[in-house]
Amino acid sequence: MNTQSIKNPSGHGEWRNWVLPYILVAPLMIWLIATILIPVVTVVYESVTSATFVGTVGDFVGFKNYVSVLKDPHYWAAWRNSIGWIVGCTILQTILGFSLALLLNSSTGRLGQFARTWSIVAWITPTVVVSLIWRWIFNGSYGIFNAFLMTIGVISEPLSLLGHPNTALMTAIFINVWRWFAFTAVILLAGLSTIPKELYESASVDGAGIMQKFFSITMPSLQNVTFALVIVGTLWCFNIFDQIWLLTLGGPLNATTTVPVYLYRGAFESFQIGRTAAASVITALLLLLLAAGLIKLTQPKD
Amino acid sequence: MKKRSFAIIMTAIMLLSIFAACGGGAGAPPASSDSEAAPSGSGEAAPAPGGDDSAVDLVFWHMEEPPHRVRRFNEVFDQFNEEHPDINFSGVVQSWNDAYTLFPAAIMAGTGPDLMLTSPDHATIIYELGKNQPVTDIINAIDSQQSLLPASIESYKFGDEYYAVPVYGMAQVLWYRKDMFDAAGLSPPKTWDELIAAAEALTSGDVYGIALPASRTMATDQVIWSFMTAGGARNMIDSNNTVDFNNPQTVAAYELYETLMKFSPPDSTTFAWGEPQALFNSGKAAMAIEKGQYLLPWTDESGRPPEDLDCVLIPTPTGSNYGSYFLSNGVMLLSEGEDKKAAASTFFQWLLQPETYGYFINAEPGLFLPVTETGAKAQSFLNDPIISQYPKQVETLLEASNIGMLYGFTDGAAMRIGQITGPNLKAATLEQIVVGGMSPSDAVAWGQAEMERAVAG
Repeated sequence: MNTQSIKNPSGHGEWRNWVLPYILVAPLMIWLIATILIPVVTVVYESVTSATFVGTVGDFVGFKNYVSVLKDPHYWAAWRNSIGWIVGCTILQTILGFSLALLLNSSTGRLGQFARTWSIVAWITPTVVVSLIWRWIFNGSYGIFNAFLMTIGVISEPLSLLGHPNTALMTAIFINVWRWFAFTAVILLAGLSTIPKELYESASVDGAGIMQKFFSITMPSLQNVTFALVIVGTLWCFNIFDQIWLLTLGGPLNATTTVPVYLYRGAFESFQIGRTAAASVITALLLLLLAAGLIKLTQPKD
Repeated sequence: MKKRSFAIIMTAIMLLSIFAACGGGAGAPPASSDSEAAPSGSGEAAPAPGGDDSAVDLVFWHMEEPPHRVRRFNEVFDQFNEEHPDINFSGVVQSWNDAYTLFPAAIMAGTGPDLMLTSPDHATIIYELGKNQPVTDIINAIDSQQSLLPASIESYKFGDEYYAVPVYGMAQVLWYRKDMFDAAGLSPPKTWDELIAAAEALTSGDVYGIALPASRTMATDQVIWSFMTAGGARNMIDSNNTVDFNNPQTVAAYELYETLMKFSPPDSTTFAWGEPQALFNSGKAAMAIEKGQYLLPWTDESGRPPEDLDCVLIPTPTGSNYGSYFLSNGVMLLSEGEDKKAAASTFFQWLLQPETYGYFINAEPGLFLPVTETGAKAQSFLNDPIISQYPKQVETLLEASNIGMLYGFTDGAAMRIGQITGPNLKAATLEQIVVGGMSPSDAVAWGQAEMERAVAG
């Protein structure tokens, strides 16, 4: 090959400046193509086939899988559970996270430092450990939750919180919130520390109360942080699979079968890779719409 | 110049590291990081100590992850390697979770093993890939010497050929606490009526007559099947994949389960395998239906002598015509080539000979049962410290394995059984009764429809 043909006519140094950035980003691009683009294309391809389990090649079936998923009441029931899961987790996590952040922000003593450190223990604990601990606590036969309530006479026989369809999702939400609200608090605390104290002092001089300061100074100052938390937190929360699976396996009676659990079951229990790929594509599109709606609703205003 | 050279070298290193990362074992499930999980012998790739380069390599993936099982398996494999310098046999521990997800991909990508542990429904899935080799001649050779249990091989017969060599079986029995039965003046139940009466009599306060799983898990699936076979509902699906779930015998089995749930802890809907055993050993439950894993931890966990643990065959409506859940795990041959097949044949014949076999299956005494007649009488099996403590119980387990059967393989092999067992549809049917409040007859009709839908794909 004639090296002159690829050389920039304006000089060797410029050619290097032109090509070097591409070489430097190439590893990342290759990595993204290998881990995101190729899997996405594969999923879209498999969604129009009758593939049964990983490794098999199915026949082309057109949009049959998409129609099947859209008509499946279990899929929409999973979405209902997912919405309940997101709303429950987001609201509780935000309230508790805000409360803890404000508390930690106002406490400067050694107790405050201690609380800041130990508040993160829940979310650095592995999911499997958290799930097993809470399963043990709520166990109806030997868990301390039921034993305590029975000892003080609140209940006469054990409650199966994770084993009843009316309470399983709420219990799973509680456990998830318990784990993650401290993380929310740490993020909010970082935002709180950037608000100038002078703003609060001026407001005090003008006679503003605690609530006025909160809604007129704190909340507007944190809108960028809360925006990021809502968007990232919602999508993150939606995709949680491990904790629900470890707590309830999606049961009882599908009461905790969220969309990720539905997809897992379809792919690895019912061995319907093609159909599950179609459900994944539909889910991704719906999530895109959800994210767009959230961005529109919660976008920070000047 | 120096800067440019540095940039080029760094870029090359980054690219190489990424390619290396991508290429490292792509498609193959990783071996466990547990040191116990390391391949036996000198490793997966290198030949065994003393082995020559021309020796045939056999890589075996198995999913028996508990360290004590891995240790025992590796001891057996090392012994085989010592006695057969022409074969390098190495066991690699994998996970059952990966068996249904990553294994098929690995096999299709050509990174699968030569031999792989399997269960009957898992075998039907691997069979669809078209990569496993028939082992009928190996089965015939072993059968002529050791006499294989018919139920252990029938579940691996697809068409006219066998596709896996069974290596151990598991059967369910009714476990009961003899101390609690004696204190209540009760005899072990033989009929369903006696079972209900005993469960009721032994339920008091926070002690339950029986601990049964009722979650949507394989544990529940297996116990339901034991009741179904005991009640005569034995052909749930035939070799044409025609489902016959909705019948009076199945409804009766679910009615029994519903009745027994009154005497099982209220959170049975979250139980799988571990919880009933924990309650049984702690004296909070008097009965449980399970396989032979109750023997090993009994004295340590219960603090009671071996005599207080006993078992009988699963009760039936009449006290006769017993049936039980029985599963045999087998090993599939995935590699082509006569040298691999000959080496595998040597290994299986060596493993299932009475002198070796008992030591191998006592990797989990009581849970792993012999699938050969000679194995059941072998001193290497009976002389195990645990097995020898419970001779009567082991006899009952062996009897259960002789009469046991497995759903999907009672009337020829139903190749779509995985579509029913994967989502645990028998357990899901029970959930409709216990959690959803549906009547057993309606729930069984619902189960029939779900199974037909699953099988149709």
